[in-house]
Amino acid sequence: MKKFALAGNPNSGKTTLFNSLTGSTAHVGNWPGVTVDKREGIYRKSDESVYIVDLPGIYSLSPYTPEEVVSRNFIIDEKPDCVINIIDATNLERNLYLTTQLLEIDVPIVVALNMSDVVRKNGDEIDASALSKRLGVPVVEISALKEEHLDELMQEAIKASNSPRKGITVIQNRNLLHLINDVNIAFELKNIENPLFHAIKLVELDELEMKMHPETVETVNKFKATFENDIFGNDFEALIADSRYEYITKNYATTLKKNKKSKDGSEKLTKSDKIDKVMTHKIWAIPIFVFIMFLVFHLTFSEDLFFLNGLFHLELNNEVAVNIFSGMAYDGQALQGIPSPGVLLQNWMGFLTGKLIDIFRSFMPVGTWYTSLVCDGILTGLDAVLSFIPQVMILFLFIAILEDSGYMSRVAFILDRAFRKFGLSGKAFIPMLTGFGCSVPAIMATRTLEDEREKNRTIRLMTCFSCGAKAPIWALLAATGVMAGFAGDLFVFAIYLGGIACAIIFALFMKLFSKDRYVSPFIMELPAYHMPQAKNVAAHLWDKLKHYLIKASTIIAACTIVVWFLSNFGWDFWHNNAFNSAFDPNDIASYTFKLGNSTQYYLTEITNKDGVVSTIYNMKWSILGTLGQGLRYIFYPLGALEGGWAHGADAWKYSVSIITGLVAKEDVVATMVQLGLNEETIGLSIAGVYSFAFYNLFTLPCFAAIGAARAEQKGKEFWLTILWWLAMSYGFTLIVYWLGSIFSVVWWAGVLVALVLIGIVVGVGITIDRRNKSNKERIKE
Amino acid sequence: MQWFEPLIIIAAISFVGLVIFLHFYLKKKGKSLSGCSGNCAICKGCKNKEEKLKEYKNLYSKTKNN
Repeated sequence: MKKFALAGNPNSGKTTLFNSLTGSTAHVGNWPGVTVDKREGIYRKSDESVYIVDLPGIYSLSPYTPEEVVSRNFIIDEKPDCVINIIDATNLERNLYLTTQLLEIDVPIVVALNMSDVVRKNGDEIDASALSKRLGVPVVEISALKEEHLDELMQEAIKASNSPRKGITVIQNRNLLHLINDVNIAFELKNIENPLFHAIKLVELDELEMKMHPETVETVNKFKATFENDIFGNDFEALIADSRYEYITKNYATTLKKNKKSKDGSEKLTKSDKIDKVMTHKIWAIPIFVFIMFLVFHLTFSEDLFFLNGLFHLELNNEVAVNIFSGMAYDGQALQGIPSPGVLLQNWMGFLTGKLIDIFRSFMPVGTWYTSLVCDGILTGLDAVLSFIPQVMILFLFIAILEDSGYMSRVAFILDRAFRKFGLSGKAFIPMLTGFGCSVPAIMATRTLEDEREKNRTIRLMTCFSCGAKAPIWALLAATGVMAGFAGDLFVFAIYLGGIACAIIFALFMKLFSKDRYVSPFIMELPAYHMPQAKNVAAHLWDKLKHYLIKASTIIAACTIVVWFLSNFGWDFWHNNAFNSAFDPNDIASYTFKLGNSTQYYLTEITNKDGVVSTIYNMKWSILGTLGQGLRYIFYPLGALEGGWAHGADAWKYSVSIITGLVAKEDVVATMVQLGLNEETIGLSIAGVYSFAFYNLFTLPCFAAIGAARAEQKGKEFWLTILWWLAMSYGFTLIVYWLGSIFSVVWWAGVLVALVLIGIVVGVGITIDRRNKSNKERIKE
Repeated sequence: MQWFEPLIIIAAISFVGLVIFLHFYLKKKGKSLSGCSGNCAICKGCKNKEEKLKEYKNLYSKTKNN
């Protein structure tokens, strides 16, 4: 089977092309560095199947980054039958720089001019046949996104792979060419493969080449001593780069005809440029970002869509309306308005899963331990997690749309401006952006940060970015009574926005205690805006859903069994066969409290209307209950007053939920519901809800993420991270809870606190900026 | 106690044990039941990055020796 490699600049559409050719569903990211490793697939649409390898995006074949090393070595060592060089046609000149290097290798090459549709849309034109003649290799105009001319591209590549190709160079500088030829001949005599490529790299004094050919380095150095260029001195690498660009400008870039020019003769702005004028505006970019975020949470969590009920007082409390919007579960409750798509689907899902559990329960004998294990333990726990699937999926749908359209790349750019003043670069924000999905890959992605201190800071701030597994916690809290009406979406919005604001504050805090003031530069390409592709979005969602279901059926299911055991057995492993669930409260005729056969149990003897006597016991004295009661004292300051989560009979349940959340964050909700804390029974005040939410947001992530941090950080730094997570979550929640309680907050308190925090942060940022400027001026003077 | 009750206990304990085993087994293979699907290129790439670099360094030293 033939083997083709896809090579090109970051963000030129290699992974999109790879997915289209191989039918695979690799994650396509709209920011550079998404493909760090090579990926493999098979193209089956031609007579003979072709093995396709998607290489990471690179700007050159110099070994500056691991991505460049991986790509270069694959092409050199594994000798693909053809290299398909993908070029972003909207950035022709810059993309051709890599092409000039690929041309030096003895391998068949086909150039794919990707995004040709965008070029045409902009009114520009590329003369592909002229470019093909000048490059000496076939050039095909394609659109990987719209799957245009892909088969034509593959036919050309198959044809090209049948005849060998000798490397050529575009370097025109005579002196350099002379030296390159000398080295080339020396390599040819030694029978080294790809002699021209190796010769040029050696003349560039490429680190890898120098190690491979130390004897030839001397020749180059001798020549170097006699060679002096007016501009670049004897920096051969810069000289060669300059020579390449000179050739590209003279010979290749002329194949691009800019047809549209504005009246003053300058290049006309593309649609993306025009959108960016607004979306990345110096002042409006952040308010627009905040508004988009709000819209996403409103459409996912609001019970009063577009505040229609709040504004126009819609009367939607009749049975028909409630049945439509609440999944046929009319029980006299009032609707707060037209629910958002997220809430609507969640209601239906909850209704369906509830019905399924009822049906299952009807086949099980009443009052047995195994009915309790299956229905009150496993099914109730799983139902708590699975019923939030629609909301989590809708949230990820919006994130996938924002990502695929190109907006998420802008978010990194916008936040770079905000973060830079506080010691974090936009480069650090890319892993954080990943953290909205899952903290594990996000922490791993911090490896792309060269500066160790910035990496440590980024890992510590990772919990400020709510991962997908925490979404069910927010959804459950947003649906509680205290958030009634239109406050649920604002609450979730406040949590996400508050998280980002806190990340900035904490970054500033860390910076104050750090001697290092250097922030690494952030260079990133902004892709053109385009309509999100249903295929990409669906692939992204399917991956999330699959992962969610795997997690629910393994880790969460196992955890519900353990929680059931711990909450239904005492320390003497004595178990009562009667359970709360077996009783209909309306069926109870009388009850008396009495102790069981162990002094730890507070048993209640119940007589129902038929005269049947049974006993129920208080979960408070189970293994989990007693442990939770110990834990609750640790959390006591975070919810000590009436309506606080560390206050009252349910305090231990909240406490143990936080602990089970360490296994997987979805377990917080599973455990809460299993222990009887659901939308109806959670009786927290606003301050209590925010306190519980912020503690869960900032505290230790799940064990998998802690493990990832352990792998990324050295001994002391890792323990400092753990300490930071524990101390920061406790300290911040303490402030939120007591401020909230003292001022007896209302629903908008969370938003207000977040806005005040942002105000403080912006104020401090401006002060720092001014101080830095005045320092620079002083130095100049 | 009915005859199937011990079976339910064994099944429950086995399931929990299996999940714990799977967790550690997959961890060894560089995959994970919890956290992320391990499907994302960032995750896979980062995990392999250092190994790949070592691998390529070895490859070069071999080429050099040849």
